[in-house]
Amino acid sequence: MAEGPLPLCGFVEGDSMGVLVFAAIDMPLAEVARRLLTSASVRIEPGSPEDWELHVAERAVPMGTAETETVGDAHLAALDRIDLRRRA
Amino acid sequence: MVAPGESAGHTEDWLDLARNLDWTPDAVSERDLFPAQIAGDPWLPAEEWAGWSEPYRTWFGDYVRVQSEKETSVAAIVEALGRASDVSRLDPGWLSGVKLHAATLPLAEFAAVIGSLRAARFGRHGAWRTTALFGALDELRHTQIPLTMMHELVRFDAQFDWTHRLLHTNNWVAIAARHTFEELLLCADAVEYALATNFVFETGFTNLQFIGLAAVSDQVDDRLFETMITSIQTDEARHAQIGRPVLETVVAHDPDGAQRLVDKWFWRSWQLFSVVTGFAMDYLTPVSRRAGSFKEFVEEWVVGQFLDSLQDVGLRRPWYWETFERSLDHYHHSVYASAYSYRSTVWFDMVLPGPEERRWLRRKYPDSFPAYEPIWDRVTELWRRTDPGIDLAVHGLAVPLFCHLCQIVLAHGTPDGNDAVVVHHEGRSRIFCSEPCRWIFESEPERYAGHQDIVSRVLAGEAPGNLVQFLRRYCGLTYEEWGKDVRGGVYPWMMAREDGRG
Repeated sequence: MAEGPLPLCGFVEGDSMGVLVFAAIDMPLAEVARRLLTSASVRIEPGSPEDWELHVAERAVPMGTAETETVGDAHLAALDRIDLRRRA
Repeated sequence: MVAPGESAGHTEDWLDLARNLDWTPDAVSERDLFPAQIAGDPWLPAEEWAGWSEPYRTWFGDYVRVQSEKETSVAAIVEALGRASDVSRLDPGWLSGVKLHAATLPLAEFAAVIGSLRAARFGRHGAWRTTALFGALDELRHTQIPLTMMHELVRFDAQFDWTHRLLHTNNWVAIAARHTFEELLLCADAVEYALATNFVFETGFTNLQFIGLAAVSDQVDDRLFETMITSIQTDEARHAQIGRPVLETVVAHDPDGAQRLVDKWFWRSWQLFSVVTGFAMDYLTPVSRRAGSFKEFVEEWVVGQFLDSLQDVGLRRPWYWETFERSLDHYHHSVYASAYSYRSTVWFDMVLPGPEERRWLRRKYPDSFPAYEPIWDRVTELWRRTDPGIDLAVHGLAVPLFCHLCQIVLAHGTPDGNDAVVVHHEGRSRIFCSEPCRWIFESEPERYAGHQDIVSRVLAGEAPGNLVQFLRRYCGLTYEEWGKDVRGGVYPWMMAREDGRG
């Protein structure tokens, strides 16, 4: 499991459920966030990516930073929880 | 032998001999005759159970006479109203609720035959064993009635075939139902079965189903379903009485153990009923025919009576009561919105709440339903953008996450904050929908750790991650059977461009 895409537990603010998101270890967190938003888009109006920020282990990662920080940089492991929240 | 209907003389003269025949073993020890592993904890000598009783005090001849009369009544209704032409006049949303109930009911009842027979052998008092034997016969009847009624309807609608098929499949609802029912009905010892099934599940919750939903059936003019559940309820009311005297004895000797079992099974029962009955009452019943909200029925039939019963026997309300009260406002709305967006994964069709339904839901759930309106706005907007009947254009495609304990989608908490929690246990990560589900797992990890949830099956390559393959190859659903929007996304209010918020 560690060598393939990493399964992550994704939650989007405003949504009713969580979804599984697969991410490569070198994938930018911003791409993970976009995939998560797409996965929830049947229930959530996605709007602009800039409306959101990713939360990894209680740490907010602004989308600008998320373009350069990767899944590996964030030390994410299989089935870790990530949250996409609307920016205040 | 007294035949049904014949006079039995002075019943009180011989009743206890008939219903409470017992003996003192001399060839084996009492512990060998009733091993703790299957009779249950706390293991107590026979004298501690000597005062056991229940109010119905039925004997076999009387049982047969009463059941025969019930069967005659049910058969008459089936004969008069059980044809496809009778059922096809009912509202299609309501029929979806019937399909949901019909599929989750009969084979669970069949599993309850096993649990009841275990109590009929290993219950610690003669009258307990006799009542449990009648309970086993009841549960067999509850298996047969829905199977018989719904079989006739398969030719009218293939989704009714899931009445028998559901629990034989890998459908996610079946996996969740099996996880609960197999532990509750097949694996529990006689004491846990009495506390979990007879006290919590039947005394605490089935009134919701059999009285609350019967009232709704009456409102929608579904006499067939009403007859089925009210007839079943009369049996449940009798054998549910096993639970209270068992609980009182357990509380007297092991109050902490009794509290743990009650807390565990209240939560597990709540999850199940909030999905099955919550969907039917608040979404699938036509709004003009609703007798009350699911929350109102739960408050009347579950919360008040259950808390009184707990207090009577000296137990506390479950430790997670605040979480339960919040979930009473949120959980079934959250699961329904989630399931609607994955409706092809179930065997019944689903209703998109329009302006009238949403006004009703706002009125009944002022503190929670507004949080779900943006979801229904989004779904409505997607339907407007696509052609009628193209369900997969308004459908989730990602793999949903399921709780490792209850096997239901991760839908606890509120849309602003999902309660899911990841737990690392012996080198493996597991996700739970809520703190109570996490607590149940961590209380007995050896009991649950080996179970493969759907996500584990997908990650292991056992189940396909592709939705259509998952439906066809793994869930056993065909296009004709899988759930769709009940009106193909075509609603008069939508055509009028009316805002779903109303």
